[in-house]
Amino acid sequence: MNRMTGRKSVTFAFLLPWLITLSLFWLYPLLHSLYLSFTDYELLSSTTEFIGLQNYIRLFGDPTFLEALKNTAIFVIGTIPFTTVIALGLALLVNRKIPGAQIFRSGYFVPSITSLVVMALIFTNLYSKGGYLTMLCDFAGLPTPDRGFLLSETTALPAIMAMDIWIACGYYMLLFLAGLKSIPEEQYEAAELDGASSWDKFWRITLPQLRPIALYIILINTIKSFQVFVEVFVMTKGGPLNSTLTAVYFVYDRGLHKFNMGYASAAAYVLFLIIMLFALVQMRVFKVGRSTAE
Amino acid sequence: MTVKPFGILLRAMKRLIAILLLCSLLLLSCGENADNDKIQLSFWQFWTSPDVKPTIEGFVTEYEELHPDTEIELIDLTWSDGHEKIVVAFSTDAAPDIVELGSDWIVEFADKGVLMDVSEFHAAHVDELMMWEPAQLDGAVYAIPWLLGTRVMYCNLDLMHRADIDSDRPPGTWKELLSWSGRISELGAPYYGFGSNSAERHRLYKKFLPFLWSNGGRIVSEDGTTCRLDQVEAIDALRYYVELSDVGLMETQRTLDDKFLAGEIGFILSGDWLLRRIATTPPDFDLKTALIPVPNDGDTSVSFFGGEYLAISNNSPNRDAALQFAEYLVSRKPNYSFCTAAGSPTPANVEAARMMAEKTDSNALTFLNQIRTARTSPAHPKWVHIEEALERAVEQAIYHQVSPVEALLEATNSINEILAE
Repeated sequence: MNRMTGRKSVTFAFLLPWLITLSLFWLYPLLHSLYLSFTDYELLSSTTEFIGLQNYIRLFGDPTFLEALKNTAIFVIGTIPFTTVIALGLALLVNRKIPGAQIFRSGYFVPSITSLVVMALIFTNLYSKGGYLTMLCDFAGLPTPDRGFLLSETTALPAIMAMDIWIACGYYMLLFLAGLKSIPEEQYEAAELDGASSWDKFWRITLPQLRPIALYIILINTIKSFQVFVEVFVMTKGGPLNSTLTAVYFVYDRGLHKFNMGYASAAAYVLFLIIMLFALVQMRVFKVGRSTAE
Repeated sequence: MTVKPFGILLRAMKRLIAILLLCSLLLLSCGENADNDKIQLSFWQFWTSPDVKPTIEGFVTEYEELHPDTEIELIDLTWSDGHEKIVVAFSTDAAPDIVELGSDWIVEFADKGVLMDVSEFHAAHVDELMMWEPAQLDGAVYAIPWLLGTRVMYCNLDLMHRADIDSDRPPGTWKELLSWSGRISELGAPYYGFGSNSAERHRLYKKFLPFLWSNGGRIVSEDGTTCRLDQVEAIDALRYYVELSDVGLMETQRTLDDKFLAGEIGFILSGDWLLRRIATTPPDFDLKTALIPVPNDGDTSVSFFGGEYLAISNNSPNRDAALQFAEYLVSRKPNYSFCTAAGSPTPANVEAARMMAEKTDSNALTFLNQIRTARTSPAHPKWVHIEEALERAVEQAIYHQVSPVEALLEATNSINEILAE
């Protein structure tokens, strides 16, 4: 019994640094911001009043917040399928035994390890009027906006989404590649003996085996996409005409720029609930899919 | 052998705690020595470029030599997140003793009571320093002008000649600017008559305001209770700005500056940062700076001015020492040397500005002439909200989402609601 208690205490002692960090820098701010979302707290202000659900009610009547939610939803829906499919395609390609595969793997991964701010600055130049991408589109006879991609209200958000897909693909490709490497070769050999085509092997062996990693990728990517901020902060500051205003940028602007921390906290919690809902739905869908497959 | 992991761990933790305690005591004793001897001042500032930072460091060294009882810690901020850092510092009681503030930030901080009232300093130095307006709230003064900046018009004279504009002088009136811009734009891509700021947050409104003010318009009434953007002067100014944008190139400030230096734009409104770039890499065409054009001959050209101000934290334990350091920084010699290093022709110190006027060239002199009649945004605690409404109106109009009248009426309603809060 004493030995058991001793072991538990040792385990607890080793976990303590992480628990302290978690409580101080994650749990406490999380709970404190929940409390703030029910107050009229303004940064630098000495008085704070409890106002119940007023911030939440005001949020759903605020056209700017609804616009930010709409843009965020477009960003999420418009990037995740492309990122996932392209990453899977790239993983299948670089998984083949072709000369120079290592170079391709590293090459595709480079954007993911480069600073997002640096990438955003580079793309701001590429997207500007007279930038390489605009010139390339002109050369290919594709239509380009009059003012550069990031200054047109119809192309600014898609331009940021395209950049994001390009940056994220490499990282998710690597995860898919790890998943592909873990599929036993014997399963493909057995399928070949049974006369299965390449498509059958992909559809019946590769895809089902990749389901856990795909769930992880979609989940992580959903959370990350809902929280899109740096790209918007560096490239457009939410403009033009709020066409790239996203939910996290709205939180940042209301909280740190306009000092309205209570209102910003409420917006952050609405976003948190939406992300949680999406995550739960995704996990349920994949779980159902897995049990059906089994 | 019996393993007693808990005992081993306890012993290890005891040793670790002892070492940590010893280290803390050592550190504390070092800190106490330093604290006892000197007044510690922290100064947060934005001048990080290698051209200017050594000058600021030189001021600190010189000041420390003159005041051996004072030690100044210089902390760098960046424009991308400096405002947030200052906000967080003030809200967590971790503010520096002295902080450099942008002119349009002062009132929002002053309104929250975190800045020291320097009205007495103002009364004693009112004639020595220019442009106190952005630092004033409800009759008190909360910051000290340090370095000023305004916007003037830059003209590419070569492009004017290529477009057969028969004049050796830059456009002086709205009519000339619009017509000459149109003629340069007719040269075809990549040439444009006017460089118009696009939907850039915190920048666009600064480019519209000179047209509003020069046309006799106002954002809010003199008593600060009513929005005046629904008046005919404001509507005409926005109509004109939209026309000007339509014949020009709409881009970000950085791209406009680049394209002007590449000789592709006839006229742009820009600040003294462009003078610095011109001095470093002179372009291969004739250029001239000029006052921002006015509606009619004889009208006064009113540009936007902003600047860097020095503020002292209300909670600083060394407010007097901080004020003394600020006084040194805005005095004639350091102010002149600082503006020379920063490439700014507009120091806040009147004597320094006079010295600058004697030594500067005609292009830089335009800034000193323009700032004489320049104005700044209204000193209102809710300015960020007013700015957002104004900027949205200009944005909607130049993107032809709504007419200038509709845009300004919507902005007027929003701003009146903000003023009524």
